[in-house]
Amino acid sequence: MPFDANLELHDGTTITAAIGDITSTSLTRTNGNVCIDLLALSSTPAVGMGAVLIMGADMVTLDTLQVNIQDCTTLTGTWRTIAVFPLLTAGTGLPGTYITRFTTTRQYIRAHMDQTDNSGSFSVASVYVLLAFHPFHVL
Amino acid sequence: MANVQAIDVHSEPGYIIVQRASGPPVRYPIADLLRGEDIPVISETETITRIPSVGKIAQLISILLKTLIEFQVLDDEFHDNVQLDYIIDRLAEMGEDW
Repeated sequence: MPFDANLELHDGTTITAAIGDITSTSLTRTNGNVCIDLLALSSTPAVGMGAVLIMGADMVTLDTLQVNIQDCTTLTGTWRTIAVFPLLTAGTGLPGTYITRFTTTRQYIRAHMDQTDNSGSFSVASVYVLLAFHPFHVL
Repeated sequence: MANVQAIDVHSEPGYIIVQRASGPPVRYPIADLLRGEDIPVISETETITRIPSVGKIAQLISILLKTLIEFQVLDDEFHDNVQLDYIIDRLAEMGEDW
């Protein structure tokens, strides 16, 4: 596994129609997805953090995937969207890597993944959502 | 994550949870790990007689047939055209004593 597991909001696990929309509310990884507690990092620095979305494979035709970074003060509270990746559709920029930056003073963040299964067989593999302080230095 | 040491394994209903040396604990659904062999199969020779509702259906069929025969709704032609013995044997397999 190429990335630090502590900084992976989603670890490459294939997202299928059976899994559905992914909205984790746990610090335990399920279906590849997990909330990250920023308390140890004392929230983000003033310049923010980078969120990197790596789409390692194309999607099934007609399907879409919307990945947002969300934060919350508690795991089961009301999550708010603080960063939005482009809507992903088959053949458009896939495979590809997307980077956005966000700041928050809240404790928990997650990658909210909203799928639209128009093909009837939604499946996308090798999806990574990573945290990075300085993504542009790495990529 | 094959080469990151697992330091704890425990379970909660429906899941096995593995804690590795780095990263958050990971939850694996048990349903995905079941083998076909682990899932009990209803065998006709044994289990079927132990399912109460199957036995009740057999009783109802037997009562229905006997009533229809008694009221002569099912007549001799029924006996000639239908293998009544076969029906009685199948009902016996389901636990019904004709």
